[in-house]
Amino acid sequence: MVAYAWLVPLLPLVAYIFLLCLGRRAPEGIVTGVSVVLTFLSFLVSVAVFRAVGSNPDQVAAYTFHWLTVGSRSISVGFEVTHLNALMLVVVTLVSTLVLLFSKGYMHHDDRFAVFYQYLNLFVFSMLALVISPNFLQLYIFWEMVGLCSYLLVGFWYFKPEAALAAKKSFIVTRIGDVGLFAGIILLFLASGSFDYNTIFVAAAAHKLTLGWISGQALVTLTAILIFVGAIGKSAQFPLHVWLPDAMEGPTPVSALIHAATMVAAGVYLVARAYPLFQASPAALTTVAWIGGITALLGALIALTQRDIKRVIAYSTISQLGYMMMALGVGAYAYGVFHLMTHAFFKALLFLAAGSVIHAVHTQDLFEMGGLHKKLPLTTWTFLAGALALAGIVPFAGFWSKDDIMSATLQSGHTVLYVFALVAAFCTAFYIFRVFFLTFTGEPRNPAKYENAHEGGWVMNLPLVVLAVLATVGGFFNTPLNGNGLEKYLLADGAVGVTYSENVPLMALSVVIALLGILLAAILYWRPLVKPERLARGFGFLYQLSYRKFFFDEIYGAVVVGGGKVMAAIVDGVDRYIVDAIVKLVGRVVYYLGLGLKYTQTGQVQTYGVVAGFGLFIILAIAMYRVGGVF
Amino acid sequence: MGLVFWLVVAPLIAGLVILLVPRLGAAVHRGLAFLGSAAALVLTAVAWDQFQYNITGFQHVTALYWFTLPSLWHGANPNGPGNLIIGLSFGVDGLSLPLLALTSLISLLAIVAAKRSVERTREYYFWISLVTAGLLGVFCALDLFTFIAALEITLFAMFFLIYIFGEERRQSAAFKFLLYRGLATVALLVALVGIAYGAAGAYGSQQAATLSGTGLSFDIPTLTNVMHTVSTQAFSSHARSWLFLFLLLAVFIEEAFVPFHTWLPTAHESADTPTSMMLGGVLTKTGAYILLRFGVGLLPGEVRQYGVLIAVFGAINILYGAFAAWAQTDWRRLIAFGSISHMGLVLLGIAALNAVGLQGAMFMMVSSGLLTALLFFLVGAIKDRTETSRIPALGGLSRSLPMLSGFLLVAALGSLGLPLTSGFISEVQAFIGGFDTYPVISFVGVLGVILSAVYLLYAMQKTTFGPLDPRYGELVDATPREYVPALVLTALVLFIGIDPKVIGELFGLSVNALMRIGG
Repeated sequence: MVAYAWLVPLLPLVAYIFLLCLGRRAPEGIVTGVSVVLTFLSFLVSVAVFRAVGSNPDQVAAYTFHWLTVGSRSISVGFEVTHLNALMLVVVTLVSTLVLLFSKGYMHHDDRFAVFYQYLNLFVFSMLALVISPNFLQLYIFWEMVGLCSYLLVGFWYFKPEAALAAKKSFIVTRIGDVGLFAGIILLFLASGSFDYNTIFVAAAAHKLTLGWISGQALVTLTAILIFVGAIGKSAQFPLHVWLPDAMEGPTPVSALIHAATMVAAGVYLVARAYPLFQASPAALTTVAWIGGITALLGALIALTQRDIKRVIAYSTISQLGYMMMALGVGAYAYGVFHLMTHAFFKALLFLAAGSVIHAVHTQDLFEMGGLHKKLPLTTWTFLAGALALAGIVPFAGFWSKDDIMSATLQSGHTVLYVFALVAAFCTAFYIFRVFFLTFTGEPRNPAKYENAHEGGWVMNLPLVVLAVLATVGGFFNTPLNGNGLEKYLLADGAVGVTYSENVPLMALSVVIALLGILLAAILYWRPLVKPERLARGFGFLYQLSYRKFFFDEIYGAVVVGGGKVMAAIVDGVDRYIVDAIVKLVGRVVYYLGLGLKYTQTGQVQTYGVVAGFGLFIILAIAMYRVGGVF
Repeated sequence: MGLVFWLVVAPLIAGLVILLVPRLGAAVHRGLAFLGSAAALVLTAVAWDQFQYNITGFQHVTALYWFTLPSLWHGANPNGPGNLIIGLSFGVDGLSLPLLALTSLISLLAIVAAKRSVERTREYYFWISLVTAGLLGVFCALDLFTFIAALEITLFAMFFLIYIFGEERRQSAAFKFLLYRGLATVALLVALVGIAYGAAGAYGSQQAATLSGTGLSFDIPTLTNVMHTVSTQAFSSHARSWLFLFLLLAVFIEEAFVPFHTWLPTAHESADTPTSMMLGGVLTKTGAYILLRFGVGLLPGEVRQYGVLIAVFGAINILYGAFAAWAQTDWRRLIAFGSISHMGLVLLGIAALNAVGLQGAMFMMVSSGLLTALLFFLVGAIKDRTETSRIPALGGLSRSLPMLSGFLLVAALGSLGLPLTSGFISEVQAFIGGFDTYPVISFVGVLGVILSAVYLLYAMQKTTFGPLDPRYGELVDATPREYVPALVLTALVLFIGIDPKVIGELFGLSVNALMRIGG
């Protein structure tokens, strides 16, 4: 079965090419049908691959073919199957299938319905190809391709200036990270002679990664951090997180698939796949842990006060990706990946449910919603499942994965990071239930929008239900009850990661913290005992700090973008008024020289004769000296 | 007569027929020019098909003898043997074949892209055919005389194309072009003839010169062999350094490298679309070709000696071009500076002087040629409709021109080095080469990867995204005459990006030959 794993990315590619041939006026039913069926087939193949690898770990293998010769080295392409990417294939194909189905309802009657599906299928193909790549170069290729799809889909409503701006921003900010990744894999190639993961990791383990200008250990740390810089961009980690909230300008199914479940998790996948390299450098791992912890806290703090339902969930995604990075950084490899999986389920669910709300009320402002549980009962209940999972309430999916991460962080000795994670967990529970209460409970704050609200039909409801089930029970893939099954599965890839024993008091503590967060949300927004405005005013500057997103956009806008524009203007000025001015000056000088020389053209034959005779004399003299005679 | 000879001569014949046969209509002029380039393209394809990968060195060699200069007259090496043979000589190797294909293809598409409304078609198509023949000659010349002659043809043919058929400020742009590249030819002439004299033993100790003296030759393969074996006594390293610096000056001007670049944006701003395609797509690749063929081929030691300098200028070009492109408000100037930035990477790859870097530089020449031509073609097509190529004056074109906007996006993405396009595979190889030899300079240069995304996506955002300007509501999208060339170029950009080994194998042969010389 493993030898047929290439079918997994191929089927969405077939769907893409088929839709491309059908053109932009293809009927909606056919477009959705083809996409969903092929992606679902891809899901079935993924499950078979997942089981095959699980039953026989020897099946882990890479299949490669020659692509290009550079100098004396060959670059190959192909695919590989490991326990890690077998899991990723299942997650990506499952969420993709559901989102493709959901989009049928959400994008109904859009002018460019077929184009939307083309882009989505291209994305699914690229994402699967990224996951199945056996080397860094191929990963980078599809890493950029998913970025392209994100660009196209964020800017799908290209006529909206905000969407155009957000698309550009997302591409450029992630590209800053990509340059790090690019340089990192080039250095690894030069040091090991190959892009292949395994060749590189074997060389790293044997301390054979060397370049002339840098010591071996420093090289490992440098390349690991450069690769992590790529992950920071793609997974919207601090300080490159600023693109993800803006990317919410894209249609909501895109947010669910690309900007919550799959593409943004690619950075986490990259660190996980390159884990042997990171393990060879404690400094790099510590960096990962701290960036992850800071991001988890930062995202949660900003999410507390946002008014836009999608932006709250976007900051939540940033924060949760921070948890995953932190897990990888403290050595809890399997838990980071486990959280990636559960997060894919519950965050896709939250986004799709939010999409269902937006579809119903045509606004994203939380303060124009309210009381929607009467109009949207299914959306309410599924959103609640997702919110409980995100908040980490036992026994929902997020509880198991997040709790594993927090325990591991404390037990690895990172006390400060544990406190970060705990504070973030409190905020998480608060902000997501703030959204829940503001959206679904209480009285409608905008009656006109409320009146027209309705559920989106089975194509939108079915994905919500499936994801709600997964958000509820998805955690049980890896609990002490099943002997930590997923952890064992993932660790079969090799000796990566450390496991931690379960600690009941810690588990209880994190649940209590989460419940307190929910309680605070309830007394502010559900059964108001305190007016939220008063609380906001009470916090004053801190509230503004959160609401203005810690001023990252303003600072970057002034320093990075402003600085770049100034630099561009300087270069342009130098070009026009110095370089080109010198050129023009030289031209002038030659021109006036010519004006002067024209007086030698006297028209008198005698003058010409004297000059010509003089010239002839010089030439003859040189010839005599040089060759000894011309005749 | 060999294949490669006819390949060069075909557009020349077409041009002469256009010029000399009276009373032909505009359509016939265009058709003849088209046929000339098409014949060149077909013959290139045949040469490619017959190309033997197991042979190093030149194939399909044709040499035409014209006259000889006795050794007493040229005086290069009075004690050695040998008359200097002057004549025409052509042949192909792994480096020239893809460039010949690029030249004939782009000229063909440029002719397709030419406006029907152009006046004085006799001259127009004559000069286009001539510039094509000249460029083909440059890329397959096996002899210094042939090479310089072909390069001179491109110089004045392009001059007239800009001077007569350009747009605003065409005359000053044309003269700037002529003076700059004329200066380059002078420097090149000094460098190449100097190398030939030096190889014959003119600049060294007399004893050593007599020992190694093989006589004066303009034949490039012969020169390559001689330069590989000639001792430092026979050709003083001082003289080599000076000749190399002259060569480098010529390369910098030909290739429009900072600070000798200002002729390029000006020329592009004035030239019409087909001329811009030829200029940006092919003519600006001659500098890199000279550096590879004569720099790395004949003076590898000097390339190594001045490697840091070249690499630093490579990084400067990458960043300078990118920042300048960011500041432009006109698409054509933006593309010109973008191309300068690309070619900076070529400089870095060549400076690295390793197999990967050289191969990356060769890929980049072809890739930048295709993408620059495609960009100029598309911007020209948009300008035909909107009557402007000023970025702030455009907007929302995705709605009224979805097809052209789509192609423009692909071209922009290729230019910013998106994987699965030719831009990426070129960048990755050039940077591998660069990081191997000059890691610090490469770290600086790699920032250009971010900047290229900035200026191209900024321009895209202002052009195709955003609300549609009502002025552009009723525009007609690409006609077959437009989308076929765009499709051909796009397909090639993608093909090279997806399966690079087809031209990689060819380039690899040349790289191996060059590396053997370079040691």
